[in-house]
Amino acid sequence: MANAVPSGALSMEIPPDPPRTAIPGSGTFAVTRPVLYAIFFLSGVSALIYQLCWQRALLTVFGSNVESAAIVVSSFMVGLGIGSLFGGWVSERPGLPLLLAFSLAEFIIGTFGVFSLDIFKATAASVSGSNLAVTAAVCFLLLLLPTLFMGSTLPLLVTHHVKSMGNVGKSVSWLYFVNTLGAATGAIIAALLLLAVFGMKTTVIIGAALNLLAAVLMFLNWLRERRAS
Amino acid sequence: MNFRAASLLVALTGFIALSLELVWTRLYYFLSATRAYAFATMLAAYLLGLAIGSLWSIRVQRRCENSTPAEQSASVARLVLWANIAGWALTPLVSWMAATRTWGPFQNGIPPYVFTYPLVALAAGWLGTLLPLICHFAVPPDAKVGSRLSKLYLANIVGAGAGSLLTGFVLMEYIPIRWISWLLLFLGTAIYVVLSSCTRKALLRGVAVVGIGAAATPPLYWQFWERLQNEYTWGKGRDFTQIIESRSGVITIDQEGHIYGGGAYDGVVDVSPVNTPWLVRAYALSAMCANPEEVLVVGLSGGSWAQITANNPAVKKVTCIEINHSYKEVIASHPIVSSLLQNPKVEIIIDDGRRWLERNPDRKFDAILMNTTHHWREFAGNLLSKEYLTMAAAHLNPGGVFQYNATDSLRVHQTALEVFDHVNLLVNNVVIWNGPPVFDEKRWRPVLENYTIDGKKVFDLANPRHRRVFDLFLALADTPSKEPGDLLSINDSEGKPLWPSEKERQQFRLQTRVQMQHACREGGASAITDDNLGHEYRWW
Repeated sequence: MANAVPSGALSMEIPPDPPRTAIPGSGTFAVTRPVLYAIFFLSGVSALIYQLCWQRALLTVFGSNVESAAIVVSSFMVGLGIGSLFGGWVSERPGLPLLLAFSLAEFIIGTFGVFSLDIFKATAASVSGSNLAVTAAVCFLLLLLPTLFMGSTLPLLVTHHVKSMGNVGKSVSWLYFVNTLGAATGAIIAALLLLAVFGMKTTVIIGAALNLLAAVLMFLNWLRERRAS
Repeated sequence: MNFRAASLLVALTGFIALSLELVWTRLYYFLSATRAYAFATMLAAYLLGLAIGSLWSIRVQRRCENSTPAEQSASVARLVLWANIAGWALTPLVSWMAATRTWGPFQNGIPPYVFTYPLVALAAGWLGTLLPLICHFAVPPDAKVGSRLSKLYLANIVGAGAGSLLTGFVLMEYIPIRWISWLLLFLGTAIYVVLSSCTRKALLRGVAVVGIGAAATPPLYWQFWERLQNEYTWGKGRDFTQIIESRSGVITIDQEGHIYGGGAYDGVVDVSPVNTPWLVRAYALSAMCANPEEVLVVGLSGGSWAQITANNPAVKKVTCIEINHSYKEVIASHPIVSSLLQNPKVEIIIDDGRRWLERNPDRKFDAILMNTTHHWREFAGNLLSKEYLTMAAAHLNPGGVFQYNATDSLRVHQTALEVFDHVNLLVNNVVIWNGPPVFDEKRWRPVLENYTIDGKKVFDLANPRHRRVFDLFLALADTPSKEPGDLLSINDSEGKPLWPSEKERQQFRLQTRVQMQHACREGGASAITDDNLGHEYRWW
């Protein structure tokens, strides 16, 4: 195994799928890894589109000084962290279909995304004039819902992936790779194309559309997997 | 690997990764003079590096397939060390690469930072190998994989969040970026030594890395900010006279007194119209506003405009809003503006200008002045959009004037034309009146004649240089509706043309709404909104 990849070369090819028989008690896997990776890539693209747009929108309404930037970044972090725990907790529920949970998470993120800028604007207007603590609390609450579900997606997919692959490191590596590659792609297309050409609202809608696409694709794959089992 | 140790390790590496990202963000913001897309593309390079590192970790995992826990820790330790060495080296390396702009072959218009992104990806690549690798060593593939992984992921995020707050908020306020980089190298090296079970070899290697890092920092960072800022003119003898690093950003001042915020020109420390005739934009307040008792200045910078305004005899109170608290330090260190800090007429508030106006809807002003930064900088759209202008103009008293720098953007002109009826252009400043436009030379003349700053007269009318600038200022009242060519016939008291150069005739004048409309139509300019962000992401 250690010598499977030629020295000095980076193995970029996706390893072949294991036989469609899973480890005992975990069901049968109809979703091929490239499909799973493609869906998680889309999720990563939309995540960075949101990060750039939401950060910009929130700093416009809460102020673009360093304190507000720290609040926004910390709110993202806290939400993702809680989401990660939430995803880990969900992944341990016996009998809960992980792909369906992932699909639902993407659906919720996408739906929030569609209305996100209007929500930010309306909420900001209602807390105008509040102190730093109130601003921080409101910012955290605004971002809690989407970041909770964003943070949950990695543990959900890793759990599913480990069941088919039987290797935590490889599962995390591949999933982290495709998701982060998607994030890098999202940053590039948002910065060099979408924001300049379409503006914030349309860019966020494109991000939401990618989430909803990921949700639908994963839902269809879940149905396929259920039929197969 | 022990799960608790793994949690601590991913938290610490998360701290380092986010701290390095902050350091690199500051680096690229400064190098690009705070362009929004430069940050986003740097972030993309960083994420790409993390992604490739994550994939590379599979190779390391295979190599460690049958290794002992101690060997696994040693593998992680080596990666941590390399990640930190690369992260530390990147910042000065980019600044030295930026210096290549002074060589002819590299002066081809492509921003130099584009060539440095592979280095960001490379440095981030080492960081990217760590999380999957540690997960592989610490999480067995059983039914609890999801929750264990989520806890490690949480620890990583907690570490990253701590990095964002501690480095971005505390360290950057008190420690220059060069020593923050070194501190991160120190932390990474300490992790390496501990993970290597504090062996003699690891200790010696660690001491060597930290020692070489400390010794190399001063020479590597020599003229660091000068190299990053000066596009084609970096070289010996061009040291900045003042460099202030704080959590709000980096302010630099060159030998000519020009101020740069985040690497972009942000005004000059000067109140003399004889040295800097473009200060007419601050001196012209009395020509445009009959009774400017209460004035708001959004964006203090070096304090020149605020100082001129506060010394206007008609002005009773000046409220200054500045987002970067370090500008007070700049003002304090320059005697020509430092009295601003003790002037009882002046109140300085450190806040975001837009937010402050939104939070104070009842505050009304006779004049609002904004010597706005370049229209293409990140967040510039927040002070130039239709939404902001509408909100800000609601703070004007009847007859009040709202003046802001358009920095030669036709889109900024077009935005004003779409929002307001009474619009003119004074040199490069859009002027909006809450009432009919007025530029009263008769009212202005005695104010200029008697203008004093800190008790010293601004114009010595017996001095021909002063007299010429005085005449030029007052002649602005005759420029509306004149074409630039017509200005050639206007002379000073000695019979010499006041506008000798074509450039001055084009720029140094007062233009009417109709003239502005014509230029905007010709240029096909569209208005700036909160949604389209103006020029911020226009990289072409």
